[in-house]
Amino acid sequence: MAPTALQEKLNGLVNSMFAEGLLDEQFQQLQMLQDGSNPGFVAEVVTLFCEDSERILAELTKLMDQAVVDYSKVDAYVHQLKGSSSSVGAQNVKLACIQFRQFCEDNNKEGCMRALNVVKHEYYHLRSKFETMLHLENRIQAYETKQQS
Amino acid sequence: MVYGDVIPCSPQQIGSQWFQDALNGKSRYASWGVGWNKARDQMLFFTAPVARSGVISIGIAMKDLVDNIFRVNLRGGHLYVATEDGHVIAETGPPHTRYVLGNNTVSIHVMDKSDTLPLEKHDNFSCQLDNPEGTGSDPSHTNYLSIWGKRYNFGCAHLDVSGIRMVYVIAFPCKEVIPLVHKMKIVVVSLLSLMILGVIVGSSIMLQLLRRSRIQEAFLYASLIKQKEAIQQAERKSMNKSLAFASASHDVRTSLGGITGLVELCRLDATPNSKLDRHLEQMSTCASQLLGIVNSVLDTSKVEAGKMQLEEVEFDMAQVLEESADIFHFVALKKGLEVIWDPCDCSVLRCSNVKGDCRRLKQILDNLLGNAVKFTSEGHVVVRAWAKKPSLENFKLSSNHEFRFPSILSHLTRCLWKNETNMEILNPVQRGPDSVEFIFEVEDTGKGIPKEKRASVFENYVQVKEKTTGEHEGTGLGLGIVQSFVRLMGGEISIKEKDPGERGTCFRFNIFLKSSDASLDGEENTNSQLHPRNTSVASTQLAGKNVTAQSKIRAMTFKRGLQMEGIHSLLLIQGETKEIMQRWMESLGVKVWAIDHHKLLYPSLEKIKNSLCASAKPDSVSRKNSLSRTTSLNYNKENEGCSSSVDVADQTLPLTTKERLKKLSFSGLPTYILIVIDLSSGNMSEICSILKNFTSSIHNIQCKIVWLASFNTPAADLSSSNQEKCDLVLQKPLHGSRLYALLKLLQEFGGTNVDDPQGIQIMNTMQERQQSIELGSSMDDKTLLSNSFASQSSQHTNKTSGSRYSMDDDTPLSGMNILLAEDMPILSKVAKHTLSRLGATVEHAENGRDAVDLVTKALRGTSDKHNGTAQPQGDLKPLPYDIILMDCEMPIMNGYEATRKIREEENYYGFHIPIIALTAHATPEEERKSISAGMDFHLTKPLKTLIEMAVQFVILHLMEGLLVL
Repeated sequence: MAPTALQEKLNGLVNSMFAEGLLDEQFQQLQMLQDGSNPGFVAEVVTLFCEDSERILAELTKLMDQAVVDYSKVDAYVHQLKGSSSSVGAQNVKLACIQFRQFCEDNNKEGCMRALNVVKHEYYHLRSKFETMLHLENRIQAYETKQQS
Repeated sequence: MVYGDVIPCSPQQIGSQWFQDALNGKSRYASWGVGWNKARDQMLFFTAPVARSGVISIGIAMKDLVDNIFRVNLRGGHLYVATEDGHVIAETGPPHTRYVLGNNTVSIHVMDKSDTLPLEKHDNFSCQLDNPEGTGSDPSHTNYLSIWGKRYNFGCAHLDVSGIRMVYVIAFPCKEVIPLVHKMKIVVVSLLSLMILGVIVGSSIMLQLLRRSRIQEAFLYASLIKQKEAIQQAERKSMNKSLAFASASHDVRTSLGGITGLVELCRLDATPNSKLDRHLEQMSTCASQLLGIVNSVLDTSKVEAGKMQLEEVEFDMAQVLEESADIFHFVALKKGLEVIWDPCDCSVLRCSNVKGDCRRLKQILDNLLGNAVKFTSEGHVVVRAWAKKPSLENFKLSSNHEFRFPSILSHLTRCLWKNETNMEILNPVQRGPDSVEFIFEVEDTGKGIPKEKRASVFENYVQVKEKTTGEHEGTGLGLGIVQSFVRLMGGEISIKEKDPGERGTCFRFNIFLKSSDASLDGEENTNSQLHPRNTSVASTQLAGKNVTAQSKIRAMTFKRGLQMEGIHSLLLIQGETKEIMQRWMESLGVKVWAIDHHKLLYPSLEKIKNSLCASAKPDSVSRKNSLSRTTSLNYNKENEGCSSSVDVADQTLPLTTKERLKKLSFSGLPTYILIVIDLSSGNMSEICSILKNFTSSIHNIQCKIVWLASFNTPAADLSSSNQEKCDLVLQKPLHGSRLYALLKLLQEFGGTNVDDPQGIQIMNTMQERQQSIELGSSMDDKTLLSNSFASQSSQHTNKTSGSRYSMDDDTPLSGMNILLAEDMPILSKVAKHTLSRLGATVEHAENGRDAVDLVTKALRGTSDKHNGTAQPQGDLKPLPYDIILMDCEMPIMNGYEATRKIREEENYYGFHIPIIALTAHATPEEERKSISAGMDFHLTKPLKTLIEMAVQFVILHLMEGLLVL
């Protein structure tokens, strides 16, 4: 496929993500930061985000599975997740995190479980989108490097 | 005539009855009878009584009659003649037919072949004539009978032959008569049918034609209707278009106004003197230019209708020229061209306050410059302008020209000049007492305009171009408008003849404008120096920030010239700028060393040093020469120092002036060096090191370095230039206000010079070759003047040095050292990237303890350095970090604690590093907490837009200033 078509597809994907509310303007800022000097910046950040989030989610799942839930720990993790999601502009995840923290404050286990599921759901949904996006970006870059060489 | 013999006989011989009858006249005159001769031929007798006793009877043989009858051509018909009493006189057939006469009727008997037995009997053909009067006319009835297979047409009639009643029957064989009639009929019918056919065919053809013409007509009608519709549509369209045009131009104006307004708003936010600010300024200029173009398009028709009215507004000619040149400098930069405004004799700068139509003038300049840039692919575009006071001399000159007109007709240039002077005469209105003539030249090094096409260049919609190059867009209206405008302003535009070797075109035009500087006239007319009072007035006006006053000041600065004795200038610039700078500086009396390659920098600096050392000795001749000598170095002539010398000043300066100069030059012997270096000259580090060596090697000489930056100068070069000694950074193109800044710098040499015993002011007008020196102006005025300039220029230098960080707006944080304490990898990555994009150097600490460690280490390092060297200027403390961005929640040690630790640590050294808290929760408590922990500022994560960063930067900057104070 031509690089322009790929680019269009990518743009469409990103736009749809914006339209769905998955992403907010912070992601645009990230895109703006990406330039010739570091072409893979967005990809890098996104990958970092995914790794970080997966780690946090695993921790959270473990914590929630315990009989006595340590809410302060949970809260700290959720806070982290919220921070990282807001810095990549993952709006839905961030919103879910805010909800989660609310439940944490109330020590509401059921609510927390539900919120965790929501966060997970949102995260996986976003991750699949990100994966497509990164795949497209990789293809475009590969094409470009091929052309340059 | 009598044929036959007369036979007399006695009545006894003949029947007595007949005789008696004849005698008595009783009998008919004619009768049928049998002849008296022996043959007893049938005869007709005509009897008449003679004298009561005799009877004459003339007999005519029937045979003769019958013969006569038979002589008639019956055309195959048959005739039967008989007396009514039944005596057959003549019978020709048809065969086997017998006629039987009845009373007025005839019966025809058809007999068998032997003529004995009648086969058929056709009875009673009436022989009664229709017309009883007529005799011998048509037979009464015609009857068709068929006898023996033949059809006959029978006709029967009575015949009265002198009293003898006879009946005749004519039988025509149908066979023979009818074909004739038939033939006739056929012919007639065929003719008729032919005729009918012809008529039909004709009418059908006619119909066809008619129909065709009808169709054609219909088509015509249709097309006519279509045409009409099209016309109506076109009219409607054009009407709509004009309406839309009007509204669109209105809209364009509105939106342009919006753009200008927004740009102005943005400018408020932008750091003054930054790149963004400059760009925004350019944008607003462009937008207003666009507005002007929109108006000009609408004005084109007005011009043609002669309804154009010139505005009369006060404006600054220098500013107009600078703006135009600047705009096209950007345009031309892309093509690698140089657009520069040659100040010439600075006469424009001296009387730049004029009244006139600034918009139209701009349009003229823009058009010409635009064309010049468009059609030039390499080289430069130079705008020259000088002002001329129309004096009586000009009149004389023009009349002279007129007188010699025929002799110089052939010479094009002269001709053009002549036209121009004629125009001047034709426009006496323009030549009021305060009118100033401005002459402009726009010269390029493009492909030029062929001579034969020069006349048509100024016509509307004409574009002179080669067929091979169709890439130039445009309507061809430009020069037409330009010409109209120039003529409206009382001038004339022409294409100036260039020297044969030179490429390109040179447009020259002159316009007359009203001068709004009252002081100028007096000065010019009396040819005196600027009056001390004027100066003081002007400098007091400066405080009011009046634009006019400012430009007046500027005018005076240029007028005042310089105490330039002993100033050497080294120019390291490429291209036409160098030439112009050189000329300008030389006109000011500065000794100029112009080089165009950085490799020449060192040798020429050495030469300057040597020449300065030489001039330190009281060698009068060399001093004088050094003033007037132009030294230029070429790369090729690297070994050869001074290649050419032109004694301009010697020729023009009056003797007394020269003597004074000589005298002055020995008195003080202060020497100043101004080095102007283009940042794009090449190897920056090399240049820097050379300059460093040079400045350190001269001690008693004031040396100032001016850097010339262009818009594409890399930020690294700029910052490296900042590290060196730098008195001024000027943005290319080097003209107008930038020259003014340079001049101020030059004047600073004199202004700060306390050794200078007397103020010497040289008014330089190179072109007019008029130089006069004013000596002994009172000390008070001079100090006032120099003070005002000193203060202005010190302001300027403050500004330039103050904008150290904001030199390049893309990297407002350049040169800043930032410590980022952030535990989360993503956040730290993003923040780090954002900050380094803004030009900052970022150090990263994973947690609070790391941050504290780093700060303590850095503090120790700097304090060690400080202990080693003497404290430099008190204001700029080299902070280990310009800013610390601190996340509040971190593992191991959180932000608040880390801040407290850092504060403790730095207290020890007497520092205060601004610490900015980064928090995810933007709550007031959080903020209070952070402030109480000793943080200076509070930002909410994530670090957002670049703009926000810039704004934050400004806040930081302010804060920093406060802290430093």
